[in-house]
Amino acid sequence: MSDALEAGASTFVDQFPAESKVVRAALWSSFLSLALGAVFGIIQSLHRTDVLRVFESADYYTILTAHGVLMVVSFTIFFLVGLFTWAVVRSLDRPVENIRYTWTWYGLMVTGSLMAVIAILGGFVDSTSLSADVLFTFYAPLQAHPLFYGGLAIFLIGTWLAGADWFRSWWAWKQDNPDERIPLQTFMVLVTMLMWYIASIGITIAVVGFLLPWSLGLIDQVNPLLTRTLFWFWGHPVVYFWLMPAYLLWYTVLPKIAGGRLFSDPLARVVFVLFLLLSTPVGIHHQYLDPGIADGFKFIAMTNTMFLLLPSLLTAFTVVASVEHGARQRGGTGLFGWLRALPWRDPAFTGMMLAGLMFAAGGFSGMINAGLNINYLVHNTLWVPGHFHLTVGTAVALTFMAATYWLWPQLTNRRLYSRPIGLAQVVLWFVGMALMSNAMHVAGLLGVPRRTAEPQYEGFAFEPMFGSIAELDIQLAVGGTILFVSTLLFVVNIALSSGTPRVSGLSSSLPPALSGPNDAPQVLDNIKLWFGIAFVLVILAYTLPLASIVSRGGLLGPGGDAFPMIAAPIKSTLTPILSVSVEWLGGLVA
Amino acid sequence: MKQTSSAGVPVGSAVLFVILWETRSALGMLLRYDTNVVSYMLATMVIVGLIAIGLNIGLIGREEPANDEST
Repeated sequence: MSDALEAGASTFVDQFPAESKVVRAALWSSFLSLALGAVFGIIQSLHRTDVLRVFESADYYTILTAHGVLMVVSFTIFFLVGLFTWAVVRSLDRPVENIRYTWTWYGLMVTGSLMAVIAILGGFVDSTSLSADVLFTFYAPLQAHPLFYGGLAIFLIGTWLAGADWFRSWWAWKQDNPDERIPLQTFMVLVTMLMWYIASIGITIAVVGFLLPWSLGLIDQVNPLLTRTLFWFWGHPVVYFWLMPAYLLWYTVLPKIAGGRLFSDPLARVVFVLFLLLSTPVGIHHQYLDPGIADGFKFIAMTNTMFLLLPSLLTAFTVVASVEHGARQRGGTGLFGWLRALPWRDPAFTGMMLAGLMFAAGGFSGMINAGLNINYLVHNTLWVPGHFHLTVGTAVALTFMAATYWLWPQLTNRRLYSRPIGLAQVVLWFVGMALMSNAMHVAGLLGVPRRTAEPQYEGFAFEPMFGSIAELDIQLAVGGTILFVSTLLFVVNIALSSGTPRVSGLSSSLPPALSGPNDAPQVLDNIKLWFGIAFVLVILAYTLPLASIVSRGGLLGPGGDAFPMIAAPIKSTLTPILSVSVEWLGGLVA
Repeated sequence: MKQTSSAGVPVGSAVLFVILWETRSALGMLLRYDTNVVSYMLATMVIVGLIAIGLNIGLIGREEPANDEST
C-alpha cells in the first residue's frame, strides 16, 4: 500500500480524490436513509407503546416496512459499499479501474432504493395504487407493487456490479504483484462479496422468478413456503453482509485507534473464510415454525448455525487482544488496569467498543433464537426485534457511525465538527438501545407479539413476572426516543463537519498486524477453493428441502402440509399397508 | 491519563447504569424477585452518580501518567 498513506503524510482524499467522491456519496446516501429510517422508528416505538400516535394503526405496516427497508437495506448497504471502496483502493493503493463504472453501480443502487422507497411511501396515499406494506421480510403471501420488487432487483444488481468493481481492482493489482499476499482489507472485501453472490441466488429467484411476475399479474399464485425459504436463503447471510464490514473495522481500524496493532492477520482471514462457508446454509433456522419443512432439515440448519458462533468467538478474542496490546503500548498495566489507558474520549473508539459489548449480548440472545426447541418460546415475539436491534441495530449501526468519526476527516480533509457531541452520541446510543432492547427481550419472553400496532388483545392480559407491561412500554418508548436523539446528533455532527475549514495533517495510517499475512498458510488466499466449498455446502443444505417443497406444493402452487409434519410420514407409511390389507381382504371375500 | 479518565467517567457510568438496570430484569426473570421500579431506578441513578462523582474528584481510582492520543 501507499508509502505516503502509511506514513501519514497524506489523506485518502489527497491520494484518491475521485474515489473519495464516490465514497462520500455512498456514505451520504447511507446517512440520509438512517435519518429517515429513524423518523419511522420513533413513530412506531411511540405508537405501539401508546405514548403518542400520529398515524392510524392501519398505516403501521407502511411505517414498519419503511423503517426496516431504510435501515437494513439502504443505510447498511450504502455504508458498506462506500467502506469497501475505501478499503480496496486504500489497501491495494491503486485507483478503481474505471471511475465511470463505479458511478454506474452507485447510480443503480440509488435508483433502486428510490423506486423501493417510493413504492413503500405510496402506502400513505390512498388515491394511488402504490403500496408495499410487506415489511423487510417481503415474502408471499404479502404482495407489493411491482415498483418495489423492481427497485430491489436494480439495487441488487448495483451491489453485484460493485463487487465486480472490487474484483477487477484486485485482478489488476495481482497482475502487477503476482507473488504478494492479498492485502487484508481487500481479502475481507472479496470474501464478503463471494458470500453475497452465493446468498443473492435465493433472493434473485424469489424476486425475479416469482414475486415480480406475481405482482405484475403474469402468474396467478406463488408457493408461499418456497418464497419464504428462498427469502431466508438470503435473509440470514445478509446479516453477515452487514456484519462483516463491521468486522473489517474492528480488525483493521479499531486496534490502530486503541494505539496498537492487530493481533493476528491469519486469524482474521480464517474468520472471514468461516463466514463465507457457514453463513448461507443456515437460513432455515428462521423457519422453525414453518409447516412443510421436515424437522430433520431444521435440525441441520440449527447445527450449522451453532458452528457460526466460532468465528464470532475468534473475533472476540482477536479484537480484545489487539485492543489490550494497544492499551499496554499506551502505558496501561495490570489485569484490568489497562482498560483505563484506552482512548475513551475518542468517539470512534468508544463507539466501536460499546458496539462490540452489545454484540456479545446479541450473540447470546441469538443462540436462543437458533435453538430448535427454545425458539418456540420466543418465535414472532418482541424478543426477536430485541435481538436484532443488538446485532444489526448496534453492533453494525453503532460501529458504522463510530467509524465515520475516524474515516470522515480522511475523506474530506476537514475536522469533525464536535468530538464531545460524537462521544455523547455513541454513549446515548448504547444507553438507549440497552433500555429498548431490554424491554423488548423481557416483553418477548412474556409472549408480547412483534409486528403489530396493537399488541394488547381483547379480554386478555399478559402476566409480567415482575414490574408491569406498562413499565416495559415506557422503557421501550424512552429507549427509542434516546436512539432518535442519538441519530440526530450523529447526522447533524457530520453535516456540520462539512462546513469546517479544510486542513492538512489529518491522515491516520493503519499499522501492520503483529502476526502478518506471511504467517498464514497460502491456502487461505485461495478464494476459488473457499467459494467452491461454500457453494457445495449450500447445495447440500438446500437441495432436499427445496425439492421437497416444490414436489408437494409445486413451483406456483399453494404448497405446504399441515403441522405437525409427523402426520405425513405416518400417512405415507400406513397407506400402502392399508391398500395391501384391503386387497388381501378382498381376495378372501372373493 | 487525566483526559482519558475524564471521558472514561461518562462511558463507565453508562455501562454501570446498563448493568445495574438489567440486573433488575435478571432478578425478576430468574428469581421472580420483584423490585419497585421507581425505587430501583432512583437507587441506580444514585449509585451511578456517586461513583461518577467519586471518580471525577479522585476519591476512587488512581492517577497514572498521561498517554492519550487524539484521532
